[in-house]
Amino acid sequence: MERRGVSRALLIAAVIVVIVAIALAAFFMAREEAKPEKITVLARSGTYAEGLKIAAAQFEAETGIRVEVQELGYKELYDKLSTEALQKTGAFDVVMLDDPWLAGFASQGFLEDIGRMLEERGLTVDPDFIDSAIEVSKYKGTLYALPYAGNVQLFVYRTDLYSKYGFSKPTTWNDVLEAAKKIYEEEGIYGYVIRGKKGNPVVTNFLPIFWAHGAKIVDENGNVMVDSPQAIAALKLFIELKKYSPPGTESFDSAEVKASIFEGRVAASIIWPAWVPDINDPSKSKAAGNVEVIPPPGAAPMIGAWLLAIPVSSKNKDTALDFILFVLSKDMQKKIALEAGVPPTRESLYTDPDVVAKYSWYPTQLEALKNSQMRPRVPEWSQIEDILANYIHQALIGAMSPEEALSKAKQEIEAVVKG
Amino acid sequence: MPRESRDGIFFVLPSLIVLFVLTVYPLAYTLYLSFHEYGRKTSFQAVFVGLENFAEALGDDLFRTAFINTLVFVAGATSLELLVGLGLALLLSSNVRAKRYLVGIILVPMMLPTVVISSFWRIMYHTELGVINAILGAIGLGPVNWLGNPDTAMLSLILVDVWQYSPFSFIVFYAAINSIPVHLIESAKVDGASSYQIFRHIILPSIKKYILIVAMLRIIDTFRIFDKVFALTGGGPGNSTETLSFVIYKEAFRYYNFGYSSAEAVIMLLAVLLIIAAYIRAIVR
Repeated sequence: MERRGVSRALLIAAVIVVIVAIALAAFFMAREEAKPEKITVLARSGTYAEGLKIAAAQFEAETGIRVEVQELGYKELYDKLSTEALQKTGAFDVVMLDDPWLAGFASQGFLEDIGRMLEERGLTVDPDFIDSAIEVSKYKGTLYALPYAGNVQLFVYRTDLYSKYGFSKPTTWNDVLEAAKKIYEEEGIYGYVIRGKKGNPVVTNFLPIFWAHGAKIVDENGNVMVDSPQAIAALKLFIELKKYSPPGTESFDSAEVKASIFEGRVAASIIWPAWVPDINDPSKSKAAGNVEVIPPPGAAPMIGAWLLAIPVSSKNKDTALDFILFVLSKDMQKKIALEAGVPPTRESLYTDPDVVAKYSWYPTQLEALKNSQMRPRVPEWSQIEDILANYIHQALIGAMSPEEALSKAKQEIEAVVKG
Repeated sequence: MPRESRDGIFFVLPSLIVLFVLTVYPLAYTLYLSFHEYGRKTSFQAVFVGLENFAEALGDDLFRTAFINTLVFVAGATSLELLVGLGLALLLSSNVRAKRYLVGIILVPMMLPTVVISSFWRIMYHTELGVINAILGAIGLGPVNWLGNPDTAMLSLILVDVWQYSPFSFIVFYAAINSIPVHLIESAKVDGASSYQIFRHIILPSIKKYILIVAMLRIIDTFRIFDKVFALTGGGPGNSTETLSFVIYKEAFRYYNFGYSSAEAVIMLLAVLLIIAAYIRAIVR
């Protein structure tokens, strides 16, 4: 008797749950139809997402379409995009990408052909966009994204120390090495600092030197070139620079490099634009007033642009493109640059008086952007980067000769590319 | 089927479903993938390759290095965590003042997120600006290039884990020691037993099973070491801190070799099972 009572109670409970669920579903579906359209943007957290939120608020005010900006950290963003690329749930209408990810996602058929979408609207890419920023948005000649943040490596050196020992502004990596040696030996201050942590840091820190020597990762015909004489010379110079870098430099990531510069312990380094505002601020940097920001010597800095793209799985592609174009319009980019500090991708903004008044180094950054090199547009870039990281690191810690390291790197990269 | 068990199924069904969805299915799928090539090379179609992935993994230098590194980490971290935890538990079980506050303070590291812990250990390990080398320098040692030297990088990771998880073994041992009847220790004292004898013949036997359980939990947990590697060394210098989870993660999510990484994961799982099985047998014996 009692047991039957339990079963009956359960049955009743189950029926109630089902009825409530159906009612709720109907309610939400009805609301979905009546509600104004909404798009979802997946973005890198921090400054970049802040910039999009500024645009989102105004976009909603002008069109009535709500833009939800979801933020994730660097690694989490990549992981999320990777899963979405496989599952294609259509959860996102606009996604933000780091430029080296583009080839991988585009080759997977995850990204909409934005070039074609623009064409259908009778639009072309505004020539005001910096060429190198448009180039990184392409994969095999097709435009899969539009550039949102014009990030590029810059270089700082200590003007007081350089002039004390008779060096002028460095234009080649040999200049940097010579000055580093002299300053280290005479002044007891480290001549350079390498961001040497294994992985992305050591590779991106080495590439501008690699490219400045005329070396290439793959040539036009897809041959792997990482063991060329130029590449070996570049790696040797990198190892030389390590001699005049602080101990532990092979494990340094951005925080340690930044600390070294701000504590006034090093004479030169590659930096990213986000650090510039604090570098000559006496309350934050002991070297303030004696640091000059220039485009990296050798005129081959690495571009690290952030892009906006539309997943093919999106159900609101037209609105998504509307939003991207809105974000990247000249007025909005200016507003985002001034309010959130996201570096623009339009040439005219780097010389805009209002923007330059706030960010005095922008003309320098524009010069760096114009000379910038991009990482190879191959889908396997993540794996190639890890292989390079491994062997550059082996050479840097002295476990392998530069020749041996690069020839092994070549073999492994070939296996991946030709696979 | 008797009614009672039929109703019973109804009640355990939700947990069975959760178990199936979260554990059985992913495990079975990983096993399935491990016999296939699945990734960019195969345009994300599963192509059956038999045992090829396993053969490749066993011959893969990086995988083998990662395996050995992981074992070193497991052995180092687990044994130190047991020792430190036991030491702290013994210390605080004697008559220390402000015991209650000390117990609370000791537990703090365990409650912090690993990412936060890693970032301040990075600063403490800094060769020139870090507090650890400053202390060593004050007593005339160092400087040690903690994270940049292949010989000390793994030790550095172990120390962070010891700092973070010794509190766990401490709190278990502390509770165990405090549950030993006071009269046992009192009468041993009356009989003239030394502190060492009390420890060796009363405390140790009473907490033995707790030690074994804590050791097992720590072995399982340290085997999965990932976040500290990711935040502190990136697997470097050279390959000195590449670990199994880190290598498997990279194969799967950076290179999209899901089949190969699944095979590596299966090997790792078998290794853990083997170690734990041997361990449990040793305990039961």
